[in-house]
Amino acid sequence: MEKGVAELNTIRDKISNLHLKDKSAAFNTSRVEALELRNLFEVAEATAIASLKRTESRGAHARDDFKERDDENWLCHSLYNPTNKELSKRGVNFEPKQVETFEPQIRTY
Amino acid sequence: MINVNIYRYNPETDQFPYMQAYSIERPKKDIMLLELLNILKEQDSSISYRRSCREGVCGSDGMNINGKNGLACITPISTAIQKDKIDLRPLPGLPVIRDLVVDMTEFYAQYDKIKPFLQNDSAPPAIERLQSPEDRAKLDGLYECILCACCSTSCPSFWWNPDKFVGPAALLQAYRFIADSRDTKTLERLDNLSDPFSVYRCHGIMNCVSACPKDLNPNHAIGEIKSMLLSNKRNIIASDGVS
Repeated sequence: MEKGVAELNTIRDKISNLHLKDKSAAFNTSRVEALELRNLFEVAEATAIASLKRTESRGAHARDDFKERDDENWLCHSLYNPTNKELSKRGVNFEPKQVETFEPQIRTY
Repeated sequence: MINVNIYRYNPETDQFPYMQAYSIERPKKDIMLLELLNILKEQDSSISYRRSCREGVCGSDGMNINGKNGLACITPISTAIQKDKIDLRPLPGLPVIRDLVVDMTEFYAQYDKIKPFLQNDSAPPAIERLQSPEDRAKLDGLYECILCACCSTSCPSFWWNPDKFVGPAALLQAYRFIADSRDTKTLERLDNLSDPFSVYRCHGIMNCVSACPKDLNPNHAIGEIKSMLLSNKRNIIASDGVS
């Protein structure tokens, strides 16, 4: 996984030198794909770093080095900050959301 | 090797469209044509075509494959190829924007004409408008259409009168709402189609059936509309108010 994150860094360098052969303004799918590439790269990096830091297996996130689910440390949301490439946690709100039944009554305003 | 000839036209640089020949090693696996196009686009990024879902659901990559309309993403190379050659052209009859991309405005205008949404005058019930399994079964073979335009652009009547003939795709959808037990505008829908062009330009040559990548039968739906327009069924519908 660390290898993957390092590889993403070299890909980022490559993307910064992105060049479009096709400069046409008529239905230029190359340009659309180039824009998509930039956005998808950011998502890919966030996914790679967040899954590297999350040292457990949970649902679709399955790791061979941490096969068990770890509720003690990782029962939380992962927040990825792209500016410093750091991961922070945010608690999951388990408070029951229940609304009392509204009793029928005379409307007075 | 496979020889792929692609229709090329860039309005900014080309005065006329031309066919460009590409040669590519035949992949070991029988991949879909769209995948082959993606490999070619890696070599020549200037090839333009629409694509989105890559599994025959979105209907973006309708094109003319060796003379027959179809979706590139669900056409395997083995069925498309003829004598080691594949010719790819844009859908016929519509204005070409660039390469394999056509302007679908006329096609959508016809779809818009048939009011492709449920119309019902009665007050909406507290739950959904229910339908018997038998009535629901009448919509099978109609609702599956993904509006890829393969049928309408294979239809000579649509080529000649794209502004007046509704075309097989939109007529299939017109019938989808005519046949729907929950729709109460059946008569209005039929009246809107009763002129000499909307439906009657269909002469039943079944190009639409042959082209449809989803194996639907617009020709049958058009036949049903025609017989409803001509027969006494309209009067029966009018007298007991059931659609």
